[in-house]
Amino acid sequence: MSEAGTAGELLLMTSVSRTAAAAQPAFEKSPEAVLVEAVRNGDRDAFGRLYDLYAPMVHGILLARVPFDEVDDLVQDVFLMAFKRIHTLREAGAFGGWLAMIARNRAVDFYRRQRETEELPENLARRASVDTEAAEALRLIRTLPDAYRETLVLRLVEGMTGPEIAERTGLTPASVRVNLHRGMKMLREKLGMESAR
Amino acid sequence: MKEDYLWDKSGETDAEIAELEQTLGRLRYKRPVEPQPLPTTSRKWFRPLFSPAFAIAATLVILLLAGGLWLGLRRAHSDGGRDTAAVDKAPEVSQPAPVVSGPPPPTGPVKPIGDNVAERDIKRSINPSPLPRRNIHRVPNEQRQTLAQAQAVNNARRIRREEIARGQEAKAQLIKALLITSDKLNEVQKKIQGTQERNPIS
Repeated sequence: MSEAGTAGELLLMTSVSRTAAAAQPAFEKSPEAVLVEAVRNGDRDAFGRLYDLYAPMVHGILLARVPFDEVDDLVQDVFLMAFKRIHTLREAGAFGGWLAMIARNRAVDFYRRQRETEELPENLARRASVDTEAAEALRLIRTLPDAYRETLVLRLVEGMTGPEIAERTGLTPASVRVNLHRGMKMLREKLGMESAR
Repeated sequence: MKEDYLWDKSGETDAEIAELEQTLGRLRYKRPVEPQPLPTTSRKWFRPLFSPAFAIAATLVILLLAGGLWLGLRRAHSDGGRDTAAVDKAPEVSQPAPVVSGPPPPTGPVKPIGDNVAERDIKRSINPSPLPRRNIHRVPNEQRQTLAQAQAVNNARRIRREEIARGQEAKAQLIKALLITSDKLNEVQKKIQGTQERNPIS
């Protein structure tokens, strides 16, 4: 075979593989998108599977913002809200980012409602039932900026890896990586300051 | 590398991070034994009620109804119970025709006005007509009545023309207002769509 013919075949293969690679994502749906479509069609079990997949993320997002004792109830609230509004989600593949936004808004709403309607409980001091050491570490993380503390809680508390955090929350891997490293750096400084005291 | 451990738990383990993981892992999510039951309906029927298109359509319908009601009320108010069609067919004399109770006016040639001042004063006191003075003395009674009737018809027609003009003006204003409202609503819809595209949460 001549060189020109070989080069032509190679070019053809490249273009075919490129076309195939480009066409593949258009037909493939992520498992989450398939589950979302199923929920929209009335499949409740599919929502249960979505719950199992995303509950740690929602838990982490809330834990980075609200008191530990309130987190479990709020997780349920967030999923209930998501179930009621799932038909308003335009892109089924964006479920993770959408759910994360609901969780963040619910945390904000928690403080707003508490300020409007509730008084501080009398047994506030006794409600810190979590491990003191863990509670102290969490308190330090909560002093960090929003983006850092959320990513750090998902990594250190929920045990998710960076790529998993990016996939679930809809953030770019680069953003997650930056948030993790900057947040960890700030946390180390705070831990050092705490231990120095 | 230690940085890889923070990123994806690969590479050399960072002791400090591992210790934090162990400590904070106690707060990790635990699936509840009995998760909250889901509601029985997903309220799919409720969806169109809150769509932007539905809101815009409802606003337009309300505006149209309000405009129609306003026009109707305005027309009824300006008519004041008067039947303008009847005015056209059988015009009524809106101004009283001058009636002279004294001797009948002369049928012959009309005398010049300025000649007899006393007679003019008497007629003025008998017939305080709004018509110009010279017409009273120069025009005979029958002609005066005809003139008054013609004036009444003209007045009725003028009033009707004015009413039609006012109605058309009001209609034009309403249409302009509706067009402006429609433009505003379109802008709002575009903004809503843009917002929803940027942020998938509705």
